[in-house]
Amino acid sequence: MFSLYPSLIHNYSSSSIFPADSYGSDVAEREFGADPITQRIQIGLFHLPKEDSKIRFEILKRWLRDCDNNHATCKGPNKSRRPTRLLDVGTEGRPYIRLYETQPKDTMEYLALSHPWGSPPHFCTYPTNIDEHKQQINFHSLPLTFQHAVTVTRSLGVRYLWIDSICIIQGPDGDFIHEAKHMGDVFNQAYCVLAGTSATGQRDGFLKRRKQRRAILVKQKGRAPFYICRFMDDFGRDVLNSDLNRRGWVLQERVLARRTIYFASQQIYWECGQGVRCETLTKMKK
Amino acid sequence: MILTDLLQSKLASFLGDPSFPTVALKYSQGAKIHFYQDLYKQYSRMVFSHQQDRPIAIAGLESRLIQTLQVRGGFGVLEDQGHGLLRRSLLWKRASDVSALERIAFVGVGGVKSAISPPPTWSWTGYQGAIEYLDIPFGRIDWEKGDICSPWPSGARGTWSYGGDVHGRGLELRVIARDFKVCHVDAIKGIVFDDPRTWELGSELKCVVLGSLKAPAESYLTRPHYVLVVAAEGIRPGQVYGRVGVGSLPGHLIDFDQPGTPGKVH
Repeated sequence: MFSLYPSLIHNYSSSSIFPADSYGSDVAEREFGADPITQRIQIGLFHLPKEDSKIRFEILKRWLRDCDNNHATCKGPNKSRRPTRLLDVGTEGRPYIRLYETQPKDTMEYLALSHPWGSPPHFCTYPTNIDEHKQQINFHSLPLTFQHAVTVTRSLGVRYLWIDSICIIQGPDGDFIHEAKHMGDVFNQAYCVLAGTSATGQRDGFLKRRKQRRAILVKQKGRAPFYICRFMDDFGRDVLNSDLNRRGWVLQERVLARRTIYFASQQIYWECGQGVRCETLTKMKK
Repeated sequence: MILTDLLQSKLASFLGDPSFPTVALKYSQGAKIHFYQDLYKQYSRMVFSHQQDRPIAIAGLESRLIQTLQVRGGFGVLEDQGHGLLRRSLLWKRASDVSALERIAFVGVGGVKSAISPPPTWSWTGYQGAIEYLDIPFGRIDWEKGDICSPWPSGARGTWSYGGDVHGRGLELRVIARDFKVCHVDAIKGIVFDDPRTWELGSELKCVVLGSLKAPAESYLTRPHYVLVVAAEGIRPGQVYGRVGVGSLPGHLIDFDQPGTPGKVH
């Protein structure tokens, strides 16, 4: 037996309640009818979209657009010099990948990837292969984490992506020490940062298959049906206490990024100056 | 949509600040000091697969902090036109849950000299392990002006020193080092050694006084004095010291009768 008390609706430590209609078809938030009880029920996704579905990327696009249009302070002025090098990943219609050396007058938008390198081998640019990378990089030669980053970048309609191991020349004859000084700017000036929180290295990717949570459908005569499922919006557990977040490099990435999309193992989170949003459509304010 | 409260972490106030650290510009001096100390304390606890990255992975944050707050600094140490900021940022200590801070070896790969010069011994970025700061009250300190000189004596505001740059090398603190008035420095309760395992009892330990607690009714003999503990290296003249610890101790344990020995802490 269930009772709908305000305390139940607000009891985020144990359960969440969602109107049944919202699964899959429409991710827009909306008012849910004139029923005074169900009006107070949170709208959200009790089952997350499949990991490779277009809906996932649609949610991300809408978050970006909402922040671009409505958050006055989040999107900064695009005045600084671009990072020394960026990956030009083409578009979904015309995909290709090549390393591009930026010019002083360039102003293109780009995404920046934050990821753990994990154990070697690592996919890098060296003095010996930089010319080849400037001609072409084969998508399938990239490790899975980078493939996912390229896929997400294209699906968000952005053409340029920064990945440290490719955009900074590695090795003793590289420019890492010099470039490290400017990494704060790379993350601060990025249109958005992609954080591969669920990845353990370059090879395992961050768009993983997740276990769906179980949900119970509750039907009542004369009322809209709703779902009850286990509460899963835990930014602290999924992001703040993740292994990625404990890496020293990530502190400045996290502090200086204006907007970050965290690909955690349970779900995707968005963070900007206005707060945190979850793939389940929960919002959290600071 | 129903809103949920987020974490209480001190960092939450500036994480997601789209133009870090402009939020700190409005702070009082004391709040600014807590701000950067919290940042560095947090950073010192983080994990590195290559310890040599420790002075580098904070470079973006630190340069931005220095530029925005219009101070000078580098290697986790900040300075402004006053005296408190430099001295407080030098008075870091090994965290209470850490048994030893290990000095990081800055070596190149395959015998090649490392492209980044090691941080000075007075910078926590040269050590592996978490740090905290000495608990020093605000507004009640007499800062010692003569016994220590800034590593950036002629630097303009916004000057930032980085180990990967040529001018970031060889930064020194010019100091007056004083003797302790006890034989067993390790027995002094208020001293925290950075690495209790490695300093030797026989080596010549001295202290550099950075300040003392104001207490008009009290003689300097009993008032707490905040010091760097240094070990002499090499031979005179041009005495060179390395930092080995930090602490707070009453004035009667420090030899103020003698003029002290000028030198440099590298």
